[in-house]
Amino acid sequence: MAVIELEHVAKSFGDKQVLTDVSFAINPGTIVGYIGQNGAGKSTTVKMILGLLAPDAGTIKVFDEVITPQSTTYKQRIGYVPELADVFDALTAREYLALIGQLYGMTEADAVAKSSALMAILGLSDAFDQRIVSYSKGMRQQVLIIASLLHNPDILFWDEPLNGLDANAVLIIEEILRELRNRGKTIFYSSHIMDVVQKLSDRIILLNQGQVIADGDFATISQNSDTSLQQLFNDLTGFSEHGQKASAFVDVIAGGAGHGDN
Amino acid sequence: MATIKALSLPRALSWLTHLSPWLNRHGVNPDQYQLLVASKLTLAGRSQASRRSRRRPESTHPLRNLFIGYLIVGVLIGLFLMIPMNAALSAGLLMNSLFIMFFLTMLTSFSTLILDPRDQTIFLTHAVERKTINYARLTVVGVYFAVTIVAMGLPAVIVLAIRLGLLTGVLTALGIVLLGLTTLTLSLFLYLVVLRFFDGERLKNILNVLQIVIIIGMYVVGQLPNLLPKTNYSFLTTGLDGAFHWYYLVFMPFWFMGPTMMPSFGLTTLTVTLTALAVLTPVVLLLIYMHFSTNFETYLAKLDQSSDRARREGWYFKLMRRLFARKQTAPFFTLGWQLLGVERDFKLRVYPQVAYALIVPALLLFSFMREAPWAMVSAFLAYVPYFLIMAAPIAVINLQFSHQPLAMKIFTYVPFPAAGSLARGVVSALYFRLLAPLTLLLGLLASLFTRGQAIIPTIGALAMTYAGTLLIGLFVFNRRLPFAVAFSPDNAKGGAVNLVAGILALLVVGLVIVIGGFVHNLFFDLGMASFWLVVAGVIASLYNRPAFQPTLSEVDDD
Repeated sequence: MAVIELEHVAKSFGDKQVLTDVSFAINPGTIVGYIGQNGAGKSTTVKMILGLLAPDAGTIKVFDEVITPQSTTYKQRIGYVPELADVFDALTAREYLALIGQLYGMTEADAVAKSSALMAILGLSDAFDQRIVSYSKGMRQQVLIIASLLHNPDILFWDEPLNGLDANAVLIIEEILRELRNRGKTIFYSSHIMDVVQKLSDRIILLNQGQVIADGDFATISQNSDTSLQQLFNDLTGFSEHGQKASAFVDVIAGGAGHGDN
Repeated sequence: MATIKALSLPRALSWLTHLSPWLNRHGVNPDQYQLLVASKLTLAGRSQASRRSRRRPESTHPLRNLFIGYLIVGVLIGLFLMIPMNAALSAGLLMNSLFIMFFLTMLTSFSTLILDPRDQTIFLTHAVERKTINYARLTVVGVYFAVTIVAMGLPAVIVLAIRLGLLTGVLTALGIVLLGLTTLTLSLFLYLVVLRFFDGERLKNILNVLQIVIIIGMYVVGQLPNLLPKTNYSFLTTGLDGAFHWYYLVFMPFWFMGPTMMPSFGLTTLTVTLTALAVLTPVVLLLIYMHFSTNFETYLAKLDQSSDRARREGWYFKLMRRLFARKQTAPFFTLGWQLLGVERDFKLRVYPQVAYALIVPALLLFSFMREAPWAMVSAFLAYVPYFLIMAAPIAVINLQFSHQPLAMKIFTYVPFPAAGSLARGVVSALYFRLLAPLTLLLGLLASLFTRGQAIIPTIGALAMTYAGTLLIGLFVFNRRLPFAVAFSPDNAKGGAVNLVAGILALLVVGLVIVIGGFVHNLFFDLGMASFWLVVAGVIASLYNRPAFQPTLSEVDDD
C-alpha cells in the first residue's frame, strides 16, 4: 500500500501556475529522487505534503489520510529537511535538538542523549553547546538532518539534503539513506546533483513545467540506454544549449560580442 | 560536571503548567505549548550582540532590561501626574499617553515577536498544530506586553493612589490593564487584516508602510492641539470635569478613564458608561480574535512567499545621479539608493523620526506665532524648510545598519581604491532620496503661503541640509562602512552622535530662523545659500582625503 499518494494536484501563486497536474504514489521502503529545474515545483510539492500549503486542486494522502492544512497526527511519522536552512540559530544545537525531540513527544533526556550521540558520530561533539549561528553551512545542514531523524520517522522529506556538506559528509549521508531504506523507511528527496540521484534512487520522478514527465527506476526512464541521468534530464526538459550558452557567457566575460538581453 | 539544561519555562511562568486542562479543551497541546513559550522567550532574550558569542550563552535578562527602559517612561508620566488635577483630567492624560506608548511598542518593538514566519516552517513541520503555535505566540507577546504595562503604568498608579486615594490607584491599575489588553488585541487585528489581504513582498511593504503611517499619525494627532486656536482646545483642560461630553465616546482611550473617575465622581452616567466600555471592549475583541487565531498562522505563511516584481530605476534617480554623483561615487550612490528602497527597518526607524522632526518644530513655530500679525508670521514661515536638517542625524546614523550586513563583505575582496567614495555616494543617495525632496516640498508649501518669499531660503535650506548630512556622514563613517552592522534593538536609538548632532542642528536652525525672520532680506537669504553651498562643497571634498578611510573590519564577520 502506498504511503504517499498525490492525485491531480495543482497549485498556483497569483498568476503563476507552479503545478498543473501532478499524480504519483510511493510505496514504503523506497528512495525517491524528485528532480526538476529551478522553479519546477519540487519544494511546493513537499510543502503541500507537509501541510504548509494547501493545493488548489487534487488530493494528497499520507499513510492513507487525506491531508488538509489542519492535519497534524501524520507529521509524527515524518522527518523534514527544508531547502532553506530555517533554524533558530540563536539556540545551541543541544537546545534546538532537545526542542525538536520534545515536540515529537520524546523526553528531554532522551532527545539530548540521542542528539548528542548523533552529533558525536558526525564529528560535531565540540559544537553541541555552541549557538548554531556560529556554525558553517555544512554543520548547520547536519543539525537539520539530525533534527529530521531524532524521532525515527517512517517517511523522510529531504529538500537538497547535501547542501554545503563536504565530500566525506556526503558519503556518510548517502550511506545513511541506504541503511534507512533497508530498514523500511521511505525517503523522498529532491536534489540538483544528478549523479547522486542516479546512484541512490530506486525511483526517479522528473517534474517539468508543473507536470510529471518521467517516473520510474533509472533503467526504465532511460530505456536501458547508455546515458546518464544528467543527459536524460537535459533531453527530457528540452535543454540542449548548454554549450552555446557557456560560449556566449565566456565571450561576454572576455569582452566579445554581447549576447545578453538589455 | 553540572548538567546543561535545554529549554525550560522561566520560574515566573511555571504557573502556565496549571493551564494544561484548559488548553487541552481548546485544542492546544499543553506540552508543546510550554516548549514553544520557553523557546520563543529564550530566542527573544538573546540580543544580536550576545548572539555573536560562539559558546553557550550566559543567562540573559531581556525582561529586566525592558522593564527598566519602560520604567523611565513610566516615571516621567508619573511625575507629570503629580501636578494637582482632578481625577478626570489625570486619568484622561494618563490613558491617552499610555495608549500612544502601548500602540507604538506593539507596532515597532514587538512586531518581530508577532511576525516570525520561521514559526511556520519549523514548528508546523514538526507536528505542532497552528492553534498551539498561536497560543504560544500570544503568551510570549503577552508576557512582554505585561512587563511594558507594569513598567509604564506603575508609577502613575502610585502617584494617583497617593494623591486621590488607594481605591483610585487600584481602579486606575485596572483601567491600565484593560487599556493594555485592548491595544494588544487591536494590534493583532491590524496585523491579521493586512496578512489576510496581501502576499509576499507586497505584504511586507504594506506592513512597513502601515507601521510608519500609524506612528506618524500618532505623532501628528498628539500635536494637533497646538494647531487649534487656544479657545477651541480648552476642552482638553477645562472639559475633563466629570460631566458627560460627546468626545468621551469618540476617543477610545477616554473610555479607560471610567474606573479612575469612580471614587471621585461616584456612579454617574459617564463613569458607568466609560467603565462598561472599558471592560467590554477588550473582552469582546479578545473573543473575536481567538475565533480567528488559526487564520493568523495560515496567513503568516504568506510572509515567506517570494513575489517581488522587477524593479526599474526612476527618472528622478537617474537625473540626481547624473547631476550630483561623480564617476567614482556613482556606483555607491546607486547602491545606497537601492538599499534604502528595500531596508524596511531603516524606513521604520527613520521615516517617523523625519516626520517628527518636521512636525514638532513647525508646530512649535505655529504655536509661538499664533497671535502674531501675518506679516511677521510670513517672514518666519519662509525659513521653515531649514527645519529639515533636524532629520539628518537619525537618518545618517541608521545608514550603518542593514538586515544583510554580511553582503558588505564584498568590499573585502573587490578592488576598492576609494572607501570615501562609498560613504559619500551612500550619504548623498540618502540626501537626494529622502531629505532633498522633503525640503523642496516644505519650500513649495512655504512659498505658496509667503508669495514666493521662501524660494531663496529653500535653496539655502537644501544646501545646509546637504552640508549637515555630509558632515554627520563624515563622523559616522570615518571608521566603518555603511550597511555593515545588523539592525538590533541595541542600536535603535542612535546614541551620543544623534544627541549631539541633534542639539547642534537645533541651535543652527534656530539661529538661522530667528535672524532670518527678523532681518528678512534678499542679501541674507542669498548669503546663507552661498555660504552653505560652499560649506557643503568643502565637506564633500573631505571624503577624498587619504585620512578618511573607512575600515572593513567593521563588517559583521562569522
